[in-house]
Amino acid sequence: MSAHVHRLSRLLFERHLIWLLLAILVLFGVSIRGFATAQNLLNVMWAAAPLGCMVLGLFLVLLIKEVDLSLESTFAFSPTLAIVAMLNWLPGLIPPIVAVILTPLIGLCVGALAGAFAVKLRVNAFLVTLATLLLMRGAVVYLIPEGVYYLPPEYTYLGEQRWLGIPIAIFVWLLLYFIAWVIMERHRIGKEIYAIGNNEEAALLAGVKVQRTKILCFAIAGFAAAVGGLLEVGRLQSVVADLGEGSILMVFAGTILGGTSLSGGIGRLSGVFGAVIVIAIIENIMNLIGIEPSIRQMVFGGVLLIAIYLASLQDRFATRVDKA
Amino acid sequence: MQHLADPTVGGISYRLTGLTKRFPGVVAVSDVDLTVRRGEVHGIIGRNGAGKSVLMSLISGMARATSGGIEINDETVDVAGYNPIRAHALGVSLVPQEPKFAGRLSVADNLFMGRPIDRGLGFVDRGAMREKAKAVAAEVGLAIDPDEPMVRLPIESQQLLAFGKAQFIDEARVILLDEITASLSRERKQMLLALLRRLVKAAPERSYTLISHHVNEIMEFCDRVTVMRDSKAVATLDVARTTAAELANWIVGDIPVTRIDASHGATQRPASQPFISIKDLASAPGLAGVSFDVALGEVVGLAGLDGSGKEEAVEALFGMRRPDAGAIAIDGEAVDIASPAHAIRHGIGFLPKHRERQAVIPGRSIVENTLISSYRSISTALGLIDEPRAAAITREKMQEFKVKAASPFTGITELSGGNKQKVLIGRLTLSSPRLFILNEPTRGVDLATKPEILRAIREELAVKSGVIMLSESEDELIAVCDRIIVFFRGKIAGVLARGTLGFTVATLYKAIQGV
Repeated sequence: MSAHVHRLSRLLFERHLIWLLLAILVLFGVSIRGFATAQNLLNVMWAAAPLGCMVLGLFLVLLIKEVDLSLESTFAFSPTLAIVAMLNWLPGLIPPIVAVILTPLIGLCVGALAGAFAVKLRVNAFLVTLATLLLMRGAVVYLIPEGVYYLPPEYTYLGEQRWLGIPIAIFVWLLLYFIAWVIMERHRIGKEIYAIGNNEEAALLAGVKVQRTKILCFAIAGFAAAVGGLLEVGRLQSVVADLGEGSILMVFAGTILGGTSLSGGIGRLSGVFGAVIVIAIIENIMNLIGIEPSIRQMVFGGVLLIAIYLASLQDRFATRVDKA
Repeated sequence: MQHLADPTVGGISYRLTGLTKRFPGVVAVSDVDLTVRRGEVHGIIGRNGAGKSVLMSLISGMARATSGGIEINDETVDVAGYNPIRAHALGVSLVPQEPKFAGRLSVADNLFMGRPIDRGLGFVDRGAMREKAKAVAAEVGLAIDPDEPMVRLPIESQQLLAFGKAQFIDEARVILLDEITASLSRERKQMLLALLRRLVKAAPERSYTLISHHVNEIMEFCDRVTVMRDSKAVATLDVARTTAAELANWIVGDIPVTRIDASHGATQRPASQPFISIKDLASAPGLAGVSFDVALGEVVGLAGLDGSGKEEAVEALFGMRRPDAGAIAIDGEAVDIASPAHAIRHGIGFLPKHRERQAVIPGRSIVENTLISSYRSISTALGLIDEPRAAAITREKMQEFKVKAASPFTGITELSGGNKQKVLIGRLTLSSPRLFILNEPTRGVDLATKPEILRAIREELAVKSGVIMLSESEDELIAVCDRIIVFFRGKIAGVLARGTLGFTVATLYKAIQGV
């Protein structure tokens, strides 16, 4: 009997806690005027898409027991560089469509570079990405101190427009998660990422190309953050120097709330997906009720504390099974 | 429960009554009664998962018992509020399986951590601590600079220092040794256990509790032994009045002990051409130039003490270290093996010695642990994994190597040591290597599983492939190998071949010891 209860509680902690939380939030939301309308819910998802992309990136990096603090700067730097190249440096050569394609590729490159630096030279990724966080933010401020408010409609298309009444950003976000899900669950690389996170030495001895896979995770994280930046720039129809500044904390909140362990190897994509929606709904509900911004921060701080506690419970459950 | 000895003689060091520890869904220690006398070395023996280590953590306050009583040095312990600090005050000290030191701090700082030699006002007397640390190291047979950072010492020395700390600095009266001999070389082990015997005579108010996997160790060094099986203490025996065979019977219980002997170790096989040859391999320090080759269908044993160079040789062969000199040739062609991935591509499979640290991927299923080296071969053109095939292959391997688990999707951490090892051997065979390198394939595997693994090496691995096997057990090497290459101080000291006169445990033992 107790074994059943134990298994049930494990299942709940590992997979379904976030959905329980989501259900409670939605039930609460229904009692608030203006929450349960299609338009509001679409707006929630729309606003969540850029955060969701960054969370995906951090999720991958945490899985391999590394960390990337610079995602919020990549989020701003990639669209900035593409836009400046398109408008100022090579106006004839780079049409907006190319700039759209260029944006995530810039993210991919900076992610790969930071990853290679950390992995190949064996430097703590926390420190490397702390440096690139500052470096890229500085570059953004240098390139567009005043921001850019007139962007070609092709560049903002993905973030701004709708298909069938649904913001395209939501489709992009879902597509990104779907591809990531296929890779994590159905592709060799996903299995190797989990193997590295759980036991790097064992993975190496089993023939996994550990360094290459780790750098790949950093690169994909940069890619995903840049896609997030592209969507956010489109949604706001402008790019400003402090785009995404400080959002890395919320990215951590989402990733950890979604059940990703800071000690590597533990976490599921479905969990972090749910967590992003939970965060967006909390924000939306507070908007609707009209809570002041300072209180909002406190609420998120509280949510993060609870999430961290639950995550530690989950880790303890896992080790308990090991001992038994 | 069978008491063959009167526990009142000599006074009681500690006594457990009805001690029980439950984890959710599992009873790890069940209703254990145990009395250890002052002035004795008491052995605890049992198969993996029998509850030995949990029992030690209960006595040392690392874990809290669910129910039952503990009495230490005539004091009754409040079981519900018991903790390591309380245990220390009562004179209990646990030397764990793997020493837990702060690696970057010096030897002296580690030995006196928490209880430095005080000059008053909290100032520590570094000079005295250094001197004492040196003296303690000397007592356990080590010549060490007390300012050396702990990480620079080999695990073996750290283990000995951990014991030295418990004995000479904490001056504990109840010393628990949790498989301390596992990471020690034979010489160190003999030295330490002989030291125990001496110390227990010199200070009869102490008791030593020694967890061990080795029947022979217990027979040689313990006064009494308690056998644990399925989380219960099933017998306490007087070592002088029992035999190794009787003890082994108690340990395995109903499971018949299959003797590993030369009969199924096969007659010598017709020698085929060697396909892999190693020439003048050297890697400082430790490996000073060795040459040997392996043929298909042959099991070659590498024997030697720790530091004899056998580990370095196989590490170089699997791309885990760059040798300083030497050449490796496969089918007559020189190959350069720079990484484990390279080695695997060249058809070499490796079973590491430290299973949990180097091979098991915890938190993942048996399927993933089986397939991690071979996902490429069951992927579609897009790289997507054929899941039903993955499960089917895993099921096949589980059947082939008799892995006991509910399903292929069971988490690997839920398996016993022996079953984990079988999964890992299955992983190796999947990539069909031409050369298997097995480093201590029966390490941490229970008695009932050992013969199964040895038989699989002979009958399944060494059919189309060559096998290099490292083992600390001479009996195993004699049972399984066609040839045994003996390493001594970085060189090959001799080769024993099956079917020749000297192919016996005794000759092998002497060769390994270099006498």
